Amino acid sequence: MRSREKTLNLIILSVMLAALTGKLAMGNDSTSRLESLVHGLPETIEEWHKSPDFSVYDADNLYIYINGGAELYISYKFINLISQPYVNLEDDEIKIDIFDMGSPYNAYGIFSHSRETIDDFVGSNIESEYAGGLLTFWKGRYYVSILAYPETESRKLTVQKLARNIAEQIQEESVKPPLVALLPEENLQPHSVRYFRHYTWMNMYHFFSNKNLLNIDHQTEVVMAKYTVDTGKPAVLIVLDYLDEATAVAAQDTFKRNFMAGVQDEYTHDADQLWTACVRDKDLLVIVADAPSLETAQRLVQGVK
Amino acid sequence: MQDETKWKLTRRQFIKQASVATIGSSFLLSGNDVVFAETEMNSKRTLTDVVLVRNKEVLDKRGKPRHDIVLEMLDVAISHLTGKKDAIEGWRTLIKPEDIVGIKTNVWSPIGTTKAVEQSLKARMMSAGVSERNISISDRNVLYDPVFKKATALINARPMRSHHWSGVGSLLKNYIMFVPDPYNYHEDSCARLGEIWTYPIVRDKTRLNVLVMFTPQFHNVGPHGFSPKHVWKYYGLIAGIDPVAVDTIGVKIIQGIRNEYFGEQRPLAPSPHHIEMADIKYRIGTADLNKINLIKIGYEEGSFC
Repeated sequence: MRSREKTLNLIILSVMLAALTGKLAMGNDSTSRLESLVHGLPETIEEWHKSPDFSVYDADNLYIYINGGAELYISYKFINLISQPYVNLEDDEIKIDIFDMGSPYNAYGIFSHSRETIDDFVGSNIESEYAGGLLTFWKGRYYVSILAYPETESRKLTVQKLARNIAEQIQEESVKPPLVALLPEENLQPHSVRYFRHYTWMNMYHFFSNKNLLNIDHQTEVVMAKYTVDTGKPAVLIVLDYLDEATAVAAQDTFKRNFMAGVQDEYTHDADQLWTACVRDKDLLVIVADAPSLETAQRLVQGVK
Repeated sequence: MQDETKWKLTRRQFIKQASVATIGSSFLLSGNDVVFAETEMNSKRTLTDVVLVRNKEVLDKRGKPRHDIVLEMLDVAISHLTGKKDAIEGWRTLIKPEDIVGIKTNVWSPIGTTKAVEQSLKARMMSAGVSERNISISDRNVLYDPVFKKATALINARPMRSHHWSGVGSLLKNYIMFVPDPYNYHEDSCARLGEIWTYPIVRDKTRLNVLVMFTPQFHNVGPHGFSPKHVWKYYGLIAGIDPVAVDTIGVKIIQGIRNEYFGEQRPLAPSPHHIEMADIKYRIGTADLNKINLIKIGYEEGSFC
């Protein structure tokens, strides 16, 4: 089904864990790096002046700044945020938020979480999404949001300049999680790819359950995406990479029991003739939902590299 | 637990009073005789009344709500909810002159409850005979506000919007500021929010719930959850005595907008199951669409319900 570089991943994980053991030191490093990024921004740009007051948050107090939204970032292992406003004489604001997500994987994950398009607003090698005055992009371990609302053409250009400044300062490579590369490319809707480690996001394209029936925890990597098919409704492909085979086996059994009427087969269909698949290879589980035919479901499963 | 008997009596009282009649002075009510007849019939079946009022004139050229139209929409809703031809009479069935009233608003920028709604509600509290000094409007300060601390009546008003963690920002969620530890209610996508409504600080005090649907946001992008691209001009207000029923209608509309915008079924993720939990577990009201009598007034196109 695929050839994974599991060993390499374990090494990366070990390095990350080692870094986490020095949490305080890392937090300080993280804060310093973020402060350095905003110090690198111009004091004035067009009509806008950099506010002398920036704010820094961590996982313990992020909810103060993002009312009701902090859990999303914490579910992606958020470390620190720096918020740097720009203001003009009318007291309007451009809000710059730079998140240190701890790793490029998590930065990619949070960026991919809700985007509906991918553009090159910041640069040709940077995945971003700009719409209506809100820009989000990721580079290296950083996820960046710049909000200038209400949108004007002038503000849009200012947002672009600020974003490019930040992106140029970030030297780290934007490495996507290897799991993403397992997705077959044929008929893939690129903007639909989601990457996460929290069960809440399983229902993004197809409602399964409010419960964590697939035992997704922070050690489980999940990637999902939509695929264009002949019928209007896209098929959904989900790949789950568990820590060990036993957990994957248990998850497969639970899925079949709850969503495939307990059938032994790896493929089944519902009354609407939409096919579901649940196929396991060692510690990797591949699920297909809403496929219009058995052949489509099989093609998606077999396409996982 | 909430005093269920008392709550039911309150609801029954409103149902009993729903001998609805036309209000000739309001343009919104013209041609709605059928709706009225339907309402009377449904009231006898003891369904829970929820009123949706829509008016395209409610937003001015800058997209700001117009106070006079908001006031009229609220009056129409109250007339239908209380069965009083004279809207002020209707308000007086909800609020007594001796009441001390806390208007629980929501300050989330840039889509808040809005001043127009806040001030309209305040004006109608005063029309019902409440002294201005016994009225307070607050969001995050409700635990410390002197009026809220001795409030005998609460009016709950907020916009509905998609939410990163609870599925939607709902009327039920608006009471999270009545607890000192909001973060302890975030588990399982805020499934326990209904429990807050059983606490003495709010129990049996809520006389009216108003879901502001002028410009609901149906999809979240970025750290502050605000995505201008995903804001829908709906021109509506939903009012009811039962917060669960009103939220249920709100979710139906948000989901309808999502499906329309994305061109496919796109479930809210995470699911807003805290609303269903408020019904099933905490018995705050009903989330069963079959038990809700939706009264639709005004602009009909694209109502999604």
